[in-house]
Amino acid sequence: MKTFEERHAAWLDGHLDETERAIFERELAGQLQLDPVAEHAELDRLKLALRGHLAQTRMPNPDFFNHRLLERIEADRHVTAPRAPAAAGWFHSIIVKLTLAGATALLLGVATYRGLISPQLEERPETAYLTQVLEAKSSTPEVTASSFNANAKEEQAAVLWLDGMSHVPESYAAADENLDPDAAP
Amino acid sequence: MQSGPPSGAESDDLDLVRRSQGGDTRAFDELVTKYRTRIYAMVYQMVRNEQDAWDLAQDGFFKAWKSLDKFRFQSSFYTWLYRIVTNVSIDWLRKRTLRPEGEFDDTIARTDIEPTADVTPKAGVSPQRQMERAELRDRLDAAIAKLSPEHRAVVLLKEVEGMQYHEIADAVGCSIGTVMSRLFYARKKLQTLLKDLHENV
Repeated sequence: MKTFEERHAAWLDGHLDETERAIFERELAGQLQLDPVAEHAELDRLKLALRGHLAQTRMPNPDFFNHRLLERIEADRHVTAPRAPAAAGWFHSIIVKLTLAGATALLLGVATYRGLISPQLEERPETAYLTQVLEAKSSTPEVTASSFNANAKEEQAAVLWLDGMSHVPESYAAADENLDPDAAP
Repeated sequence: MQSGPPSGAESDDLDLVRRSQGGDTRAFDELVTKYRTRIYAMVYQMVRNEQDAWDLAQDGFFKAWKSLDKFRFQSSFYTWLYRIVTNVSIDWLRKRTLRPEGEFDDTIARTDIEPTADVTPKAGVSPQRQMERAELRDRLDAAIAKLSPEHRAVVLLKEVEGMQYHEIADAVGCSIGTVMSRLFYARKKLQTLLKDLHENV
């Protein structure tokens, strides 16, 4: 359904069929208390006045208009033509700058690691202890232990007896004095 | 009143556009010569100042030249050109520091504006009648100046260029319904502003 404004424009410009026109004119007369004939005639006069007044404006200096426009076009061509290599040069310089920045950042990163982080890792006291743990864990376990399990329900007690487990050798982690508080100085 | 170029002229236009797209400035020059008067008249009615209209028409054609590669041959060249020029004019009107409504630049040279047959003072027309027509012209100018740029553009494209609704919609970049709605409000406003003049029109 078209709005009132759309139907009014179509009515004035003769784009409504007979039925639509009759309905719209009844609406004008009924709801808006307008005489459709007078309204149409008044707006037709307005359209005529606008056309008569606005049409046929003469352009001053028409030939100079073309001349000036072609001058602008030619000037623009001269400006934009060298612009293409300039744009390519700009793009190229950006790429070079980005590459240099990336390489510098990489070098700085490597230097920082070598100078600061790597020595600290080597000096950590946990390193020897960790090595021993790893060796112990990775060696084949010696299973000689036996276990006994007793459960007394009425006493509410459970006993787990382990026998035959090897004791921790004295040399275990002895290399690192810092880790053994009882070690002799 | 002009109602757009016929199909033959349109095909000529498209040929000129193709050549212009290839960089042929002489082909574009032909298009400019063909449409400069109508474009200028349209812009002049929008901005009501000769120099501004001339400059804006230049800007419109220059922008069209720069955008020729975007023309897809889906509409007529002149509709496409009107779209550019209308947008240039509306943008200019929006950005401009507006004078109080109803006031005009006194530098507008009325002698350069060729009146139409209906209102042209013909030989033998009495001075009183000439004055009445001048008054009518002033009143119409003042009334049109009170329309918003969008309403003004739609009325001009309809009443002066004789464009169809869909062509106006294409030119100003809105729906047909919006065009019809703007036409309604613009006409009603002009009707109200010029009510006392209708008997003299």
